[in-house]
Amino acid sequence: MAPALYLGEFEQLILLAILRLGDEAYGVTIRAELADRAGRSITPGAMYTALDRLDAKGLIRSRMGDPTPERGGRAKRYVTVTAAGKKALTSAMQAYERLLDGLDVVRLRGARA
Amino acid sequence: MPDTYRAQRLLALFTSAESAEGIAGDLAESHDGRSSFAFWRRVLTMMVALSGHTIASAPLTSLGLLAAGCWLAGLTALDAFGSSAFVSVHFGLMRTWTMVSLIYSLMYWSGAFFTGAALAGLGQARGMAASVGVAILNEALLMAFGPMLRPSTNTIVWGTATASIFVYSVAALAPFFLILGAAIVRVRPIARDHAIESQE
Repeated sequence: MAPALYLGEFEQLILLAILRLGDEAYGVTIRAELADRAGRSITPGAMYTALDRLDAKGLIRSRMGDPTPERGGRAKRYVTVTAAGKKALTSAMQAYERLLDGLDVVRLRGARA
Repeated sequence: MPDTYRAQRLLALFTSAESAEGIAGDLAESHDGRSSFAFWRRVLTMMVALSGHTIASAPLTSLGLLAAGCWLAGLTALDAFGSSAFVSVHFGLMRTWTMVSLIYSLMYWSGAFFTGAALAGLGQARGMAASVGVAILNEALLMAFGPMLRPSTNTIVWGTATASIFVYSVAALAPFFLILGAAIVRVRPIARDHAIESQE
């Protein structure tokens, strides 16, 4: 049986951002999506190393787009979430749901600073 | 527009060619008309981040490469010192200094070059990161213990101070050759990848 893949919080955010962006997910858009939706300003170094980790785990796959003049003739590296990535993300979301079960979520939100 | 080609070549020393191209393009796209210095600062920061990630993803292997690099670099440095001492015993004063300086410099720098090339050949991107680590360690040790360096040659012709400065300078430049050796080995596989991609 293959060992379960556990995702860190940051990796989960990146996978969710990639899923939201669909076919337009690449470095610049992922950072913008995380800043816009999650209020997280992340450094390029942290993001690209996280993408490399996810790629090494087989949770995302990449493909090269066409080079554009705006990018100095460099192609975009688009990323998509693989089936294994979706499974790992679902597993993480289910863990959250199980832990939240029975907790007073309204009270939790009210306690937020 | 920033020089994305050179940025990609530098980034590709520490990661795959595909990843390097994507990162270089992203940095250019988000450059937003800022200065060239700002762009290159971000490229340098990315190189450091990629090195750290490469090392952290396999710490034992990286430690092994670092240890191997230190051992190899130290061995070639001792060899350079020993050879220059050997030559100085057998020749006259004026010729001694010229020959000894040449032998010492060439041996030290070629040893450093070979060390970098060997590390990058063994470990690819991880080897490149290890080379940078050995280079930094070399400079740190030199700063800490450099004043103790004394040339083992006849110093009557140039004086002790000049000889010490010369020895110190040669040692201080060695990390440049170390990183150059590693970079040259890393560059070749990257160029081939691009050639294959363009033929597909």
